[in-house]
Order: sequence, then structure tokens, then C-alpha cells
Amino acid sequence: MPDESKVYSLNYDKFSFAYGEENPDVVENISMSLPKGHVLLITGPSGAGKTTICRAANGLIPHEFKGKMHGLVTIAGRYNSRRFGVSALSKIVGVLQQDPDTQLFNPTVEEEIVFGACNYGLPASDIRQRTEYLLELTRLTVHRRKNPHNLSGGQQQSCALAAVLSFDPATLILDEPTSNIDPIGSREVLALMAQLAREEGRTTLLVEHKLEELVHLVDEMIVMDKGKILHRGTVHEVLEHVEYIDSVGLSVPQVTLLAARLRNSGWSIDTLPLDVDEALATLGPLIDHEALACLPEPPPRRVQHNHEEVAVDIHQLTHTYKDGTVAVRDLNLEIHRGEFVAILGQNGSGKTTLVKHLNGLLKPTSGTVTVAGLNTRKASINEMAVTVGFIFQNPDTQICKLKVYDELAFGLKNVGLPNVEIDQRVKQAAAELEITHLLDKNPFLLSMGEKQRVAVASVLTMQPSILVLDEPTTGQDFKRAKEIMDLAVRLHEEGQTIIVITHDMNLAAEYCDRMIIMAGGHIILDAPTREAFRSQEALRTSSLRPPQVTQLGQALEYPGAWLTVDEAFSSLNDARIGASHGT
Amino acid sequence: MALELAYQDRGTVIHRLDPRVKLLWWLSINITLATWNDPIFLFLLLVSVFIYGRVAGIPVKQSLQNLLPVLPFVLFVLIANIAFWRPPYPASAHLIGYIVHPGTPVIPPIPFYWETIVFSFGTMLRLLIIVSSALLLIKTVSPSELALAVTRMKIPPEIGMALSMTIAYIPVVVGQLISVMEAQQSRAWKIKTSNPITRFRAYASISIPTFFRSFQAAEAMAAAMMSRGFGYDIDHRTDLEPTKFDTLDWIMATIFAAFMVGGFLLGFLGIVQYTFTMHVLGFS
Repeated sequence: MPDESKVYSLNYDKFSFAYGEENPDVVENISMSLPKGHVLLITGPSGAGKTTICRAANGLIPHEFKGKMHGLVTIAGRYNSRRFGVSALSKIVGVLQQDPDTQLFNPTVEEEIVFGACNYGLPASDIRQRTEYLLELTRLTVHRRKNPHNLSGGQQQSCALAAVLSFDPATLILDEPTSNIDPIGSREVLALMAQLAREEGRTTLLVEHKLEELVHLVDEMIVMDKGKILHRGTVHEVLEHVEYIDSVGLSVPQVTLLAARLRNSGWSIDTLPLDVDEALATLGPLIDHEALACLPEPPPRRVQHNHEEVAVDIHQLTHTYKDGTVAVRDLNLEIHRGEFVAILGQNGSGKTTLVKHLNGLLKPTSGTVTVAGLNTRKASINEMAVTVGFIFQNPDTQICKLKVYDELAFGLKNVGLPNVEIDQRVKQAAAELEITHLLDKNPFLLSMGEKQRVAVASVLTMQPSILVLDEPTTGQDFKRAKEIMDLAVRLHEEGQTIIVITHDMNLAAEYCDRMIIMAGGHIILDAPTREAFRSQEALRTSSLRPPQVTQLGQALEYPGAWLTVDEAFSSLNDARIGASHGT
Repeated sequence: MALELAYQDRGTVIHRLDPRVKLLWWLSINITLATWNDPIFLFLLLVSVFIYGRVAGIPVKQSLQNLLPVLPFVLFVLIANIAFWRPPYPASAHLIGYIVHPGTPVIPPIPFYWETIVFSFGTMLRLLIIVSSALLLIKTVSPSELALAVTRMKIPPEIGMALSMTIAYIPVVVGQLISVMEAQQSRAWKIKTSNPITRFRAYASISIPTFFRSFQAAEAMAAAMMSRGFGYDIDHRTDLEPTKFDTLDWIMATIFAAFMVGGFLLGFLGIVQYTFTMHVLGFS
């Protein structure tokens, strides 16, 4: 009988895997162990191999995803993943995937939850009791008879988690459970995960990008890149490498990054803070608060076009869907040419409905929408397509040609441009996005990052005067989202109007000059970004939180609002005790 | 739209029926129509399908709206039938005219009879019944119920899983189709063209990304089902509400079975053939 304390819930021993016999390994020689009750966080950019690690935990690899596997994955100290099937291993290792849509296939929440427990033949009375507990735990009791697809993103993911917990697996694998949901939903799911880990002592392997929310919830952290482990240890130990982790394109806690930079520039900081409270305690004593209070606002970050011309004019817009849902009500909005605007709000706030009116995908139930002088109710598809470029979050939604060149020419052919002009525009957009070398390739065979660039280029070929970016961070890693936003900045410099739909406050703060916050189909705040972050009440109403550096500034009683780590770094250096405080 | 095509427990008498009875209803309709080709009888069969849907709480208007996306295909079949189907025993009195006139060089004459029109309408109605009955089955049988019903009928659980996934998957695919159409429309995609080749190419721009994304989603859904123990030990699966074949189930099953046998025989014996409508229209 093995010593229980030495039995690992999950053990990877020199695990390597390649999808298909000919392809290179996506993870290489990974060895790691999860003791019982341990919470392990794995993070890394796209292509790091995180999902492969998750799939190997319950036997999806090697049984369902075929390829070349080396090494051993052992569950509960005795079950070799090669010898047991997925449904058998899943009884011990429950897996929650990132997209709630594909995990919910029962007609009601209740049936969704009991599905797994019934499959494992658990006693009916136990299932009923556990279902009530899980409905309560996930706050879904009132929704028990609803179709899971009618729930909000956070509720859907909570439902999927409850469905996994129904058969009480000893180990939980959560593969980016919050990547497709809004901040409230993310907080709900992560709080639930933390509660399960703490109160039930459940072993948990969590793959996530949102480190800010997780730093106090996990026992150990691993950073992966290109199939290898780069760093491992406690959160404090790993985040000692915060600047390097930031450089490989991962989202890191802003205050940790800020403190690391300050330390590198000579500040006396022993332990890097992980959250705003710790940052306040660490940096507070090192700052001349009077000097900080006198510092001016940071200057504007980029070209301010200040055009008088109205690019988007929305008057008394109301949109009611077929089922009677009023998504937007009596909304008025003006956006000027050359503005860089963020439209923020939780899922269901009406922001997507609003922007779908900009290129005529939706027509107003009442009111008018005028874009670049075109009434969207009357304008043709061609007119709207060349006026408003819409970049969707998932490039697979639009790629439909077998050559990148044809993909880029798709919209141009639809509007009937001559071949000479098509050729010129395709080459110009390809050069802009650095994909000229891909023009003869099949877009379906490209990496996700390359596909995203192809999708963006195919919109840019239309040379729209207004560019709408739909949730550039949802389902993406930080690096890829940043690439798209950096491109938007370049286009903005050339005079293009940029509208970003997002619920990522860090992204809005870093890039956008104006913030429009929506809730319940209304605009509850419309202000320049710095001013918006001072409107505590509107932020509270929409459950949005300012970036960590903005919160830190407020806690340090800085009168302005820092929007980025760079701005905070510059101000704090000016206000450091002993620094010469010139104005 | 996507959720309109999903199962929703409306608590009606149809929803309370055992899934096997609902499967039997679907089979009775489809087996019957395989042997029928008379448009009057087929129209009545289509009406009965809508009535069944109404009893299941689905408004007739919604049932009709759900047929809109398949109308182009149905019209194509109608036209193809009119162009190519000829009665086995053509009567010159029933001749309307010629699609290709006698004496046209190279191409043989193609006569056009009243029977052709009657039969073609029958074929069109058949297609509408197939689609309507399938949609109603999807809307009234929950995917998990269907999987269990199938496995209880001693059919391998893999088939149950495939069937269940297919039904669960429809709203997902429809949702993906809508987002693909929006993405393409944003790049000036449109299908308002009368040129069939251009039209086909326009549909390809929609179907390729939808297929690609659907394939990815199917893979994820299958993984999710297996990760929740589907097929672990089907014989000892817990039945929280053991479905009993109660009196109503027996009555309905008997009616559907009788209809299936009767309908099949009527068709097989040549009674419900297009000739019936021809008689009604006054053609001997």
C-alpha cells in the first residue's frame, strides 16, 4: 500500500507529445507533479503547450488526439493514462475547457449538471443532494430549468464547472476557463475555483492568462513557452522574472512589473508586490507624497487629431431583437474622425449590438445611425463595407479561400474593383501586415497569429475610414491582442477612426483616448480615459475595475490618473524621496 | 435563431412522451411519405406535422419560418422535377406543351404533362415534411433523452452519442453560421445574384468557414462529453427519473405504429399516388 501523502494526484514524467507522426513536439520532456490539494497555475503564450498538458491529464491524449507521445502520465499514483480510457480517467480528473458553448449540450442547467454523475452510475439520492449543493454553490438555483445557452458567459462556465464537479473528481483541470467571458464572469469562476480548492482541498491545475486575479490563489506557478517550462516556483519566486515574462508577451500584474522596474532603477525593494495593497505598503514609504500630489498629468500619448468632422452620429437609437429583448434604448452618440474610442461593458450591456449598427449588420428598430455621412438604414452592403472595417475576434470566422492572396482580395472583388487595383491593394496590405511571404500559402494551414494578420489585412484592403475591433483580447493571448492594437495605433496615426469593443480595462487604458461605458443598453459614462477612471460610481455600476496602476495612484493620492506602467514609473521616479523635484 | 432550433422543455403532452414514442412518430411520418407521392395526401401529412408541433407548443408561424432557409433547395428540386420527370404512361390529353419542341436539332423533344406538375409538387411537399418533422423531433426530444432512448433500444452507445451530439450541435452550428455571415457581409459579401455559379461561389464563402469552425467545435464537444463519462458503463447508468412507458405512451405508440403500417400499405398498394390528385383535377 503506497504512502497516501507521497501519492501524486497527477504526475507527468518526461512527457512529450506531437500531434500527428510527422509534426514536431508541442511539449517536450515535461516533468511535474501535483500533490493532493495543490493548486498549480500554468501560464504561457499561445503555442506554449498548455492545452496539450490539460488533454493528457484525463487521457484525451493519447486516446482521442492522436500523435506521438513519449513519457508517462500517471493519475492518482496508479493509473497510467495509456491504459485507461477517457471516461474512466475523467472520473478522477475532471476537465473544464475554455469555450462554454461546446461543453453545454443538455436542455436545462439541471440536466447538464447531473449528466456526468449519472454516467458514472452514482446513487440517485447522492446525485440529487450534490446537484442541490452545486446549484447553490454556483448560484444557479433560480436558473435550474433554463437552457444553459441562455445564461451569461460567467454563468455558463459556472454551469460547466458544476457539471464536472457533479461526479466529484479528486483533481480538477481548468483550461483557460475565463478566456471567453467578461470580468464579472471571470471573477465568479475564479472565486468558485478558489473556494473549491480551499474548502474541499481539491487538487487543481489551472491554465490562465489573468495573473492579476490569481496571484493569491495558487500554490505554485509554471511559465511555459514553446513546449518547455521556463520558470516554476511560488508566485513570488516566478514573478521575480516579471520583466522577462512581460517580454515574452504575457499579461503580468502591473504593480509587480512597476516595482521590478523601479527596483532596477535603484529603488530599495526587497520583495515584489503582487497586488495593489502590497504595492502601497512597499512603495508608500519610499515616496514623497507632497511631491507626488504636485505632479502634473502625464502628457497625451499620441497624435490627437481633434477633427470637427463627425464620423459616427447615432440619434435616439433603439434596437429590439425578434424575441423582444431591447438591447439598446434611446442611445445618442457622436464620434469624431480620428478618435480612438473604447466601448466597454459587461456581456449583455449592448455594446456589440451598438457597433453592429455601424456597418449595417443590424438596422435600427427606431432612431438613425449615420456613418461617414451614410444613413446605415439606406446604404448598400458595398458602401458600408468600404466605410467601416470590422475585425472579428476569431479569424476562422471569415477565412474562406485557399490562398492568402485570394482571401485578401475577397472584399475587393465583392465590391467589383478592377484587377489592377485589387492587386495593388492586396500587396500594400500584405506589406503593412508583414505577410507578403504568405500570399501563396493556404490560410487554413497558418498559425493562429498569422491567420489573425491575414484577417486584419483582408479588412484593411478595403481601406475603410473607420475600423472596429471586436473584443481583441477575448480568446487571445496578451501578445496577439497587443499586436493588433499596435497596428490600430499605426492606422490611427494616419487619421483613421478606431473603435474598440472590449471589457479589458488595461487595454482600454493603454490605447484609447475616450471611454464609453455601457450598461443595460445605455451609455452610463462617456469621457476621456483619465477622467473616466476618476468616475468611481460609473465604474462600480458596470462592475469594471481600473487598471492596477490607476488604483495604486488613487491609493497614493496622486491627483491624476496613470494609465500605464510607464506613466506610473515616470511619475514615481519624480516623486521618490531624495529625488530632485523639478517641475 | 440558434436557440429556436434547440430543444426546449415547454412542458406539453408531447414533451412528456417517452422519447421512443417521439422517435416512432418521426419514423411513422418518414416511412409513410417514402411510399406516398400524392400532393393532396402529402399536404394533409404536412398539416398533421404542423398540428403535432402546435400541440408541442411551437407556433405554426415559427414552424413555417424555420422552413425559409431550405426554400431555395426545395424550389430547385421542384424545377428539376418539372424538367426531368415524365409520367410512365403519358396521355396526350394531359400534354401542356413542350420544354424542348419536336424538331429541335440534336436535342430530343421534352414534353410537359399535368402529371409532371402534380408529381413535382408532391416531391416538394415530401421535402418540406422531412425537414419539418426532423426539426420538430429536435425541438421535442432532448439530446440526452435521445441518447438514452437509443441505448435502451440496444443500439451501441456510440450511435446514441453521435445522435445526441448531432442534435445538441445544431444551435452551435447555426450560431457559427450567423457569425460567419456577419463577418463576410462586413467584406461586402452578398448572394443577391441570379447567376447560379456566382451564387454557388457566394455560398462557398459561408460554408467553408462554418464547416471549419463546426469541425473544431464538434471535436471539443466530443471531448467534453467523454470527459463527463459518456459511455463509461451504459448498463449501469443512473436513471434519475426512470422513464416508464405509461398508458399515454402506449396509446400514442399504438396510434403512430398503426399509422405507419396503414400509411405504408396505402402507398405500397398504389392508393396514395399522384393519380389521386389527377382524378380530383378531373383528368381521367
